[in-house]
Amino acid sequence: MASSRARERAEQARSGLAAALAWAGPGARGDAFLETAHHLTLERGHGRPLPGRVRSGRGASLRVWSGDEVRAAAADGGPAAALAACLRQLGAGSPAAPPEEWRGDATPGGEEAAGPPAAGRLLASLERSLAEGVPATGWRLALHASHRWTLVLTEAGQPRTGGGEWWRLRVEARDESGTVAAFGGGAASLAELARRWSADRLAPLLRRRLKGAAAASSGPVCEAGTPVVLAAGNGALLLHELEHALEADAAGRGWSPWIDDGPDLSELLTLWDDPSRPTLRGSYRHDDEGSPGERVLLVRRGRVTGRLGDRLRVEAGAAPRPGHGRRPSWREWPLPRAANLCLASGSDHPGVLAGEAPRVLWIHDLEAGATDPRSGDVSLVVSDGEWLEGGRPVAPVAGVTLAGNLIDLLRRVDRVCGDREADSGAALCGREDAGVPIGLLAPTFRTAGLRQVAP
Amino acid sequence: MSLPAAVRRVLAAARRSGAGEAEVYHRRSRTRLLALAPAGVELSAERTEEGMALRVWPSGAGDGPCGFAAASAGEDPERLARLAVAAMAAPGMQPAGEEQRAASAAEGAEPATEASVPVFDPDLLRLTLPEMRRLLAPFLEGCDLARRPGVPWSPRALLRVAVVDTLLVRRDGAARTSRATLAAMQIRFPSAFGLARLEGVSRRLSDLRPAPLVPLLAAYPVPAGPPAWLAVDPARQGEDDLLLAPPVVATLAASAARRAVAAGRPLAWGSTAVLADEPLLPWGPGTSPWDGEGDAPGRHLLGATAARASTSPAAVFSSQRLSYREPPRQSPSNLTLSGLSSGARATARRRLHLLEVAVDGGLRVAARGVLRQEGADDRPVLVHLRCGLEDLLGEDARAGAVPGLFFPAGGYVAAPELLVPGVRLESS
Repeated sequence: MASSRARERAEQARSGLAAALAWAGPGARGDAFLETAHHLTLERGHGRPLPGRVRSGRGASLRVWSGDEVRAAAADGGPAAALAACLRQLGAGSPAAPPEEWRGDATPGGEEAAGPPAAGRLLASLERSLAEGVPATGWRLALHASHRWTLVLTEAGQPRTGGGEWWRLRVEARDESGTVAAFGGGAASLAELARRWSADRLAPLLRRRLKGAAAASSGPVCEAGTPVVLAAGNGALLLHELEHALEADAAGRGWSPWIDDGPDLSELLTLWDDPSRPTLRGSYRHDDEGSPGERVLLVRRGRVTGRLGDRLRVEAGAAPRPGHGRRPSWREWPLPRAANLCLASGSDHPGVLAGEAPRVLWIHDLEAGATDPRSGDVSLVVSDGEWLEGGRPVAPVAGVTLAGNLIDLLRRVDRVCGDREADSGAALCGREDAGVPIGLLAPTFRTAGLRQVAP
Repeated sequence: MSLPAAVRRVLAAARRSGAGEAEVYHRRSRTRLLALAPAGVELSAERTEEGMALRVWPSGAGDGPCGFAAASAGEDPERLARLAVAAMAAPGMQPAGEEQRAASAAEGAEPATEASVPVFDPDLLRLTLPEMRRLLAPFLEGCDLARRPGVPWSPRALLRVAVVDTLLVRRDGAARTSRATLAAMQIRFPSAFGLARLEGVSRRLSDLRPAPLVPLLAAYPVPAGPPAWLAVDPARQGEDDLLLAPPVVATLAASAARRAVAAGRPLAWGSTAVLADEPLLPWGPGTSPWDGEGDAPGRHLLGATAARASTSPAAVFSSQRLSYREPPRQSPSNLTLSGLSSGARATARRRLHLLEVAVDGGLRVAARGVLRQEGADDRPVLVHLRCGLEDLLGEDARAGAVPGLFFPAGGYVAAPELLVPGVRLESS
């Protein structure tokens, strides 16, 4: 976006916020948030293109508070009209703004630069190549591009702009028996996505996942005492579940095992959340409240030391500093959320972990995870794993659900390797029915305490 | 600009951009939200949203692939049309030729208001924020029934009230409108298990009463150490009673409905229970006089006795639009489980009362409940149900009261409390 346009938007935000703060009274704090977003989704199924989808949206929100009660309003449309609507909703009074012409705020990538023709060709080519190397009878491929531009202004700060572009790929392969294997990956551009997730790389992953899903009901069952290895990168989704218990609003309400103090974890664990790592998907310079995105040390050698905070929770004394106030869009209000979870490397080698126990469940990828922040009960869906016996793979695993208790699982971490790597770039953190992108940077580690509950 | 004029501009732009046929969906909503804690109001908020979705097809595409574009209010119609046509221009798709770009039937449409089923409650629309607070307070106070010693007490109640106006102009020129209200209520509180959550949804104000939730809240156990794991296998006969609270039955019913639709035929069971999707249920939260593509929706049987299931039409869901931002898709509207013999009173010496689904987030792998045994203290338990709803609905299954609220469980579900006698509870 041209800087003059950004300055114009900033002035509109400043004017809207000033009116809201004046209405709220002396000492009130607050923020104005503007967003323009553009999404493109292309899909293919069974060799044919499915309906393509493009979404464009603009909206704004105003939020003010003095004391504990927060008043907020959100409306869609161009900045002036949306901010005026917000003021009317707050009761701060504002004449209706005239409709504004669309002036192409959204970055053009999904529409012109790498729009449906190029993306559609990539999907078609990928499907053809995968069909040659994977014994599947049905395919579904989806490509999703997001472009977002945001501006945040607080009562005290400078306007902060943010946003960016991200491409996600999802592939589902179905065999003759109806067994489905899936994979998700992402990258910062269509070209990078094509390079990073080529058919050569995806085909062996999907073959293993199909075999694992077909054997899900008949293979060995993970018991609570089974050693489980979480692979570098995507395996750290388990650790992301810990971050939900360390969101400052959960702790502030007493909905976390770590309220004032709490149980220690394995001494091998040192974890932090770092929004400032540019190559990971959850990165930002400033969060959606305008606070700098800074690294927060969450666990130091097994001792919980930090929380993910936003402005409100810092004012309430539930977190030492803000920087993790994130909102999925202008429609939702900021909440303390994770960005990029990092786990410090250890000294072990993955090869040692493979052969150390007679039987090991090795998890390469997790499809989903959920946790109860207060009790720590957690469940995970394995999308790609293997049973290892004597250090050798004996059976692939996919589509099984494992459950355990997070505190127990993280106390039982007894090996951390030195092979740290980033996740595949498709992870989303879901909370209150809305998702924000996150990143993971972690080495392979081993724990126990997960039991298979489905199928 | 009036609404029909805006829609006409988009349709005309679609034609100029190369679409053979076009359909426009316009949606405007206003949502108010109040979050209440014991210390007072935490958040009061309001959100307005208006947007339009355009679907375009090449000429003569029939039901083939289309292009879809959606945008929030104020979008340039020409740009929206260009985006939709660009999305259509995937390999194998061709825009219409000049000779095919005559004014489509849809451009000449006039919307007709249809109100064949009640979905709009003006009382809900008129609620002020203080009234919302007065309405929500008893739910928060009701949480006290679940308060137990040793559990830090910090409940939170949330009420969301929305009014939604929609207009659909189909590609055959027919136009549909609707106006609906929706209220969603949620309470969250710390329990012996972890964080408990109860949610209910309705389209009318008179349903927002805490009374249906009272028995659920009162049943929460006193914490007695960490919950123990149990397993329930209905295939193994025993002498224990299994009592499932309505939210647990709702989750099982939604899961069973999805299995029936995936299989293409209704599930069969031994009891007289009927599982159906009812898009025209009066005041149902998923009710709409028209489905997502403007057709009149119909009731679909998803589970019944073996004899009835075998002769019923295929199990399907209607087409739904959950927002203007996504194209219509097949999904449940109002799932109802009815027709069971009544009398859900557990009398066995050992009774397992399942209260909620464990670990939310869509995984829902287990349920949480309380084990009550004569002569012993109540025990909180986590339960792995190695079965689906169809396995629990044997001849002996009995139903209790149906709460007035629907439960969100991947669709809205009205489910009763369910008693399954003669099961065997095992350590897991």
